[in-house]
Amino acid sequence: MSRTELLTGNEAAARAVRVSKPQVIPTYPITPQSPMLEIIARDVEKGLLRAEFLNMESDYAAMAAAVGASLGGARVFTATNSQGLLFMAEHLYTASGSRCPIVMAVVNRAISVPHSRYADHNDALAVNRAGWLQLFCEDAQEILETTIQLFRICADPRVRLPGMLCYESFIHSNTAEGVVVPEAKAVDRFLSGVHVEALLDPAVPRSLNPPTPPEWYTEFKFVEHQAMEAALAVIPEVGRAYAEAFGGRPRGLIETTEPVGRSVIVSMGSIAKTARRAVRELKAEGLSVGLLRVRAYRPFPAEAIRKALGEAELVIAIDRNCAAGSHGVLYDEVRSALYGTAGPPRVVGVIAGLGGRDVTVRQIKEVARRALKGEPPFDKRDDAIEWLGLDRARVRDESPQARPLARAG
Amino acid sequence: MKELRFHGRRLPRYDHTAPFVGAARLLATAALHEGKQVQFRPPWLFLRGYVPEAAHLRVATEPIESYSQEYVLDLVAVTDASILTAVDVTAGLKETGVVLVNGRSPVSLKGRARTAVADLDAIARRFATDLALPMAAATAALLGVVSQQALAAVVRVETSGRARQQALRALEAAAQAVAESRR
Amino acid sequence: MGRPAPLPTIPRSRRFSLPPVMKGTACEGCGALPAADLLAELLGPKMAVICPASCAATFSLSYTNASWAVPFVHWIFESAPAAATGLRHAYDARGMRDVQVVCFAGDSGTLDIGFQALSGAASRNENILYICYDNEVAMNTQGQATSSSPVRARTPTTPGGVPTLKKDAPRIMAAHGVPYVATAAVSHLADYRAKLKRAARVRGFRYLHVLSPCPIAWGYPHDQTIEVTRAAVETGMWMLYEITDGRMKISYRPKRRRPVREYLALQRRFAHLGRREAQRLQKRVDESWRATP
Repeated sequence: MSRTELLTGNEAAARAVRVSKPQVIPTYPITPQSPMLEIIARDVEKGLLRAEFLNMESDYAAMAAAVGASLGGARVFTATNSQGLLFMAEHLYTASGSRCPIVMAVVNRAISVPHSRYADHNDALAVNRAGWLQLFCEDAQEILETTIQLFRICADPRVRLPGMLCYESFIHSNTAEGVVVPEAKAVDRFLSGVHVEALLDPAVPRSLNPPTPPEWYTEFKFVEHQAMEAALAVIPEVGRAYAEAFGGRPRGLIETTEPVGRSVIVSMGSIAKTARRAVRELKAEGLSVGLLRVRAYRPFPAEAIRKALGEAELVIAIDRNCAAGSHGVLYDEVRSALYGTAGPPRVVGVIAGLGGRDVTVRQIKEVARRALKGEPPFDKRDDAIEWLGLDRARVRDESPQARPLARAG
Repeated sequence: MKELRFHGRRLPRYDHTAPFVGAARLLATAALHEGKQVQFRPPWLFLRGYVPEAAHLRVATEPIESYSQEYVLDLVAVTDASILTAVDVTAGLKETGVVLVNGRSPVSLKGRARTAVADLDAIARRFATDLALPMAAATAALLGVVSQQALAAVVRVETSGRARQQALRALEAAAQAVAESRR
Repeated sequence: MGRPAPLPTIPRSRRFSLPPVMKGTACEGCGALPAADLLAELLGPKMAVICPASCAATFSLSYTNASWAVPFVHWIFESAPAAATGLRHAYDARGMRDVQVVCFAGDSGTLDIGFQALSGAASRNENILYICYDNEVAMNTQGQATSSSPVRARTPTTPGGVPTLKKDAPRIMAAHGVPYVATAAVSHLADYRAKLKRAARVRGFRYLHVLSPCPIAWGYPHDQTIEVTRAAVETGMWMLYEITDGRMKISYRPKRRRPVREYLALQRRFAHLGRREAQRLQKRVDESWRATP
């Protein structure tokens, strides 16, 4: 029997882990993922979850252990973000190249320097070419459902790639909402087909990762590419199967408001949730505005986005990420997906919420109105991007630093 | 949708959860019990020691659909009156909003904020419960954000025996104290 | 419940002050504060501090204010000794040989995630002073176990008790052949002061390991930090010694060691241990003292 519980994002992920029954959980703490790991440690200690809970010495050690365990045929879960995710960047490629269906929670957090424990998407997006699925959740309910679904999606024989479950530092991880928790036995049935192939198995000896000559390298990368494309079908399939088994709305690659309107806000994560309210209020004012939330960012759902934006005239991509001298990823990738379509919409970009800065309903409405009117910088064809709420008085051309209060000497 | 903020002092890790967080959580759980939508934010900041902090709560019958940290508050609850000199607890409070203070002496805050003062510490002591319980009941009585029955139902699930009896009495006493302070 | 906290009462140096805005960032009874404070006092203005992610990094600076009156950087968790290596050689290249390069790090950044960099710098005998303040958990992320957590201690990631022995960091560092290694404790500040002075005069890689209890992680009243540290020393759980050019010298040998169970009884992290386990720990402590010169 499902029941509704008050759970933070971290608690929802930990509960999903408990019912998904990974066998090996290599860990390294980092704020604000550590409370989630501690719940899992307690679950293992109390016998609620039978798993090898490993306290590793660093984040990359946790990923190395995750790949090792997956190659040994175990169902594996781990979690990290920000500094830890980048520290394990090398091993992310090991995981995807080895076709290990590892499920990892990434509690999106800004990257030092400047130092911040708060939310933005730069961490996961910095490794968006590493061959990992990346699904971005908008609330605690979705965190729970997506964690469970990822165990099935990643291990699907058509996919066999590792997957990141992305949700935001503090905004999701430490905020509690009502979450419908499925019954453990029902989850067992839902995941009963999940099988992790043991590539390191004495029954079938193999030598993994030989030096690969140029004549073969490309084909291995092509196979990974195919697997990622196959996930475009598997993700909605598993989402529908979940809804059939447990209720709730079936989750797929994207979600749109109905109708999607002539001007569409495109976003991911908590900003997409806040944009729902903004869109509702703008519609009440008589504007034709809608929302397209990207759930699966990798694989990038270009076809689904093209279809959804077929009648749109304006796209406002709100990115919780940035790259010096470049654009937000949603701005770039949506624009790229629309290239070559007949009568594509204008695409403008907003960079918002970096380092955990709050993005309000009011701000989204205000920037949407200005984009609709074509006010600068949204009047440009290219690089029509605004840094939301930029405070020029605080712009200082130096690296972040503080002055001592005491005096030496 | 109702928006509430709870002020208190953070306690170090190995101690029990601070009452201002416990009260907000109890109200959130009760609201869920009534089938409402809930968004509960315990303090996020990583400060140490007995620093004043705040928890936020949104309760609605419709989906909340916003993670914005901008609040237009219906009620502010203060578990520790000493915070009033350190923090402006009326920031973000609606014109019609009310400040509930756990204390013994009358409180005057700047502006025309309505205040309700109740000695919830005394109730907590009398029934040997955590301050969070009378705090939650007082808040619910003042704002009507959840029913006293829902609070009692949650407490019944989470306690047993004599502790349960005491807890239920503490809820009643706190609701009563608020009703009296209104008169 | 709800009384404003007094400030931590530790000797306040001129070069390390906990400014008003920072009072929220250091905990009452923090054992790392005296270790930082004395370091700042003794080494003077000619030093630069590299502090990887840790409680110390957190209490050392907020956005607007800094505790240290010397150059300080809040560094990446795993690579402080590597950064220190770079800084040291930059100063040497620029003729600034009288400026000490100091790492001030917790046990996690020293012995787990930072271990590779630590061993690397020690192997090269880099001319840096490395101070590990040890609260026996990863406290900046709220107290998970590290390889420096003592056996059977309860932490949030080892709710059944740490299953393995505390890593013997000082002896591992001495095995690198570095000129000076020492242990210290914040209850024995005169001893720590003398060791810091000696370390400051030596060239090459110098390693100090300072026992710095955390009232929150260890589970004792915050005004008992000095007492708990002293109990660690007096029960022999924590040995005060130096290893100079490979030769070990005990700094303080308690005339009659107090029973280990007295130390365990002070802390909630050991509250689950029974008499049998306490006896086992006592045996281990006895054996470690028998093996000393």
